[in-house]
Amino acid sequence: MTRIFVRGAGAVSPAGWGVEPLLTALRAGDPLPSVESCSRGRESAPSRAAEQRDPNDHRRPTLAAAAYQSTQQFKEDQALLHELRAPSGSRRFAARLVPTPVPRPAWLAHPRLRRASGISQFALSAALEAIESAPGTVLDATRLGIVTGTHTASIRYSERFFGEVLDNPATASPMLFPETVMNAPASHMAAFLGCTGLCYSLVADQTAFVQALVVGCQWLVDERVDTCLVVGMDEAAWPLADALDHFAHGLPVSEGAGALLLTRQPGTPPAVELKCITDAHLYAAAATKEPAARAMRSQLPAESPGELLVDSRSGAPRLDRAETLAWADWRGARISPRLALGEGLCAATAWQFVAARAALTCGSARAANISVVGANLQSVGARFELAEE
Amino acid sequence: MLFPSLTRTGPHRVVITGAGIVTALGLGWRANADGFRVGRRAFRPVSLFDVTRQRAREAAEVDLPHALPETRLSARTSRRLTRASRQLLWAAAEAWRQAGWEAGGSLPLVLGTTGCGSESGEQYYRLALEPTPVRRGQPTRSLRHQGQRQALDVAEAFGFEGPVTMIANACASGSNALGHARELVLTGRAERVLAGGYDALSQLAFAGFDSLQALSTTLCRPFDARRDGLGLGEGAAVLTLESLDSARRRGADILGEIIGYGAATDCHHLAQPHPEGQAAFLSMQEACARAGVAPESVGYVNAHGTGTVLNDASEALAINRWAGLRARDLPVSSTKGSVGHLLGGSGAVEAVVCLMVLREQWLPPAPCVETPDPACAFPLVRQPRDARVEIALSNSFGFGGANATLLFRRWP
Amino acid sequence: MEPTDALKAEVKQLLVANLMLQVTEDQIGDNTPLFGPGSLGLDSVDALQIVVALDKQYGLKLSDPAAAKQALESVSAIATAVRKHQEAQTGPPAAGTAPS
Repeated sequence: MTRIFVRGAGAVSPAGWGVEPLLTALRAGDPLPSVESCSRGRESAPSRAAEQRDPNDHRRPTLAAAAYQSTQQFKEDQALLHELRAPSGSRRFAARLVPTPVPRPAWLAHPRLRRASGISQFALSAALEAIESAPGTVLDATRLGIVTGTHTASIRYSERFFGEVLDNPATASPMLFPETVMNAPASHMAAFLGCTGLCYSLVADQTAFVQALVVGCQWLVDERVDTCLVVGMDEAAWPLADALDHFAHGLPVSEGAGALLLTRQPGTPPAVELKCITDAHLYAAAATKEPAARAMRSQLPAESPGELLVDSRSGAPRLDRAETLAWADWRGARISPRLALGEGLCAATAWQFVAARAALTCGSARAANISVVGANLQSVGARFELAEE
Repeated sequence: MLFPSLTRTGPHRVVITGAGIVTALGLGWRANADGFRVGRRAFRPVSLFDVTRQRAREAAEVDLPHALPETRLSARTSRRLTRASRQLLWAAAEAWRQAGWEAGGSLPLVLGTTGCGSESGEQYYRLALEPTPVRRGQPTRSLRHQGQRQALDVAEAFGFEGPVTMIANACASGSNALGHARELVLTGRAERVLAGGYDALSQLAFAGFDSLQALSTTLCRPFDARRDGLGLGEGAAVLTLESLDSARRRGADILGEIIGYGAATDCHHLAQPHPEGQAAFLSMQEACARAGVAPESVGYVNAHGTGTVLNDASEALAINRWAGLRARDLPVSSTKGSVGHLLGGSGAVEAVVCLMVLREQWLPPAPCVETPDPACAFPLVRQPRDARVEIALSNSFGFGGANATLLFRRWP
Repeated sequence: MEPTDALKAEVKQLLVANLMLQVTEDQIGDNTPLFGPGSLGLDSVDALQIVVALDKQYGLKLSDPAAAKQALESVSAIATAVRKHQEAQTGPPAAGTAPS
């Protein structure tokens, strides 16, 4: 039976560009400093990121003085709460946005990325980090597969473009439209890496990333590819925050990406193995969320010492109820990335897997159950284990 | 478990026992076959949204009845279906009925789309822009917009549960969905899979292609020397795929066999194919290699053929190169001149066209081609004609460099 | 009438802002070719975007693709086309100011 190993991982999140800032934010546990806690007694630097930065523009570095940018303070402020507003200005939404990368990564100069929206940059950054974090993996681009999972894809450009269309179709920006297709991020990754083979983009609720993992594993088991990049990504924009607000008022929308590099060989220890992905427990007809989440939980092992649970709770009680009940038996170590970083949809699901892998590679856990209770399609879970030498 | 998945050792031959289709030509196999056979053009002025300030004004819109096919959906769900779900349900009902499948159990569902429930998302956006924002109905609109909602509509309509794989690979999505479904059956991961593709006409997509000046302002004439762009259409097609053993066990009527699938990625440009069509060539070559079939035995090619200057030129070179000497007498046509480009739905609709060709032994002409592009080393089917065809090939290429090819064989 | 330097600078700003260019205005030469080999590396999507931007900012409509190709060769070519459009509209031009 072909075994699948997670050889590398990468991430971009409101905490920063890389797995390290993601893990730092998760170790901090409770939510990142919000606007209120930040302004209490802290002298505000002239260009605090608290003002509503244009979320559409990820290229112009913030106006912060160079000195300020290098301080730890800057990193914290960057990750603090931002605000998205509907054009009519009446409604405001909490959001955690990915900070502009400082210094600007060299790969951003690739011609294919000039017009790309944030989501494509997040995805490529996570993918490159996943490749770099897997030394010894021979990357033959013609035998590399790419599968992405997203919930709303390039919503920032879709929103801008459709707004221009409603204003005047004759002057709607032609440059934006191609970037609105859901496979634009995967296409940029394929072009950057020279991947001429299999490249799929999947869409669903937060579980789209897990479905992407299933497709990646299938390609590896069937030897259609030798390495597979599986990337989850989403970006924040006011219509998404507006929609989320209907279901969980006050829950900050978030954005970023997470990537895993899968192969059939363990590579240098500690090797993390993808032991299983549960069945897809759909919320179809009678099956509501609670029985589906319970059925998913029952397919993953009972708790035992030295094991970690990485769940998809977001901090909104009504949305978390099914998952909380399903894992009521779990007493041990547990991480919920969305509590610290906000509802990043498929990016947040990918952060769950990245965090699970990091816990195993740094020795703080022997195995990890990853629980994804999607908002409106299905519950599906997975399990990582340290492969014995 | 989705992984590791139990696989009954393959390879298993993959046959099609049901096919449903909805396009501007009509609902169902018969209406569509009669239209494709004579190359009827089903374009008309756009009625679904305002196009007065657009360059192009026509599209191949579906006359969608108010009624729904017979399904297990509740009245409440039926009232909230988007246009995309309604078209998808008509196609799925036809395939399901023809295959004679029963409700119950786990059945993988693989669908291709680009716009999901687009009109619901666009309506959500318009209302959210209002100074005094509307709240009523917005939660439902935001749910109905999401692709997985159309998948759940199908699963609930026919009473099955199963892993859902929604592939959003631009204009190749429908072919990728059928190709992926074929691999699930071929490798023994599933004995049956419901697969297809769909897209309802979307104002964002219409304005998008028009902003790129990619929409024809005259007539969509794929492979014509004076072609000036594509025409958008809408619709859906769904196929029931199953292993030959399963079909035989059930004594099901077999419409055709899906014998090959190739997929490649064109890294040239986000929205334009490489002029020489290298990725198109690779996907055709791979489909044939996996099917163990040489170009000589392919009797008909349903080209992607959008009618844009760039796609048809690039695809022509790829077909010439792939077909070699065979090109001289290899009939090729694009049916996008009849029903337009269905984006996420075109790969699936054009797979059904190939099944029609194989079942009824005729070739669909491309309407209104006056002077074939000299780059085509192959004859374009320009008049309706009967023909003996054993193997048909279908190409689908899209934004982002998504390239896919499917091969079908006639079932005797 | 030779387009003024101010108008050329304005055109450069228009390019940087509308095309998300990763260069600054002063890195674009007046006569640097915008398209083709050894140029700024713009493509046909950028060309369409410039046409839309010129329409929005100056009301200059370059609908015919051939005329557009010729007018978009370089910053100077664009500035010349804008200047001609301004002259046709307002008679003898004021110094380099574009109708805002």
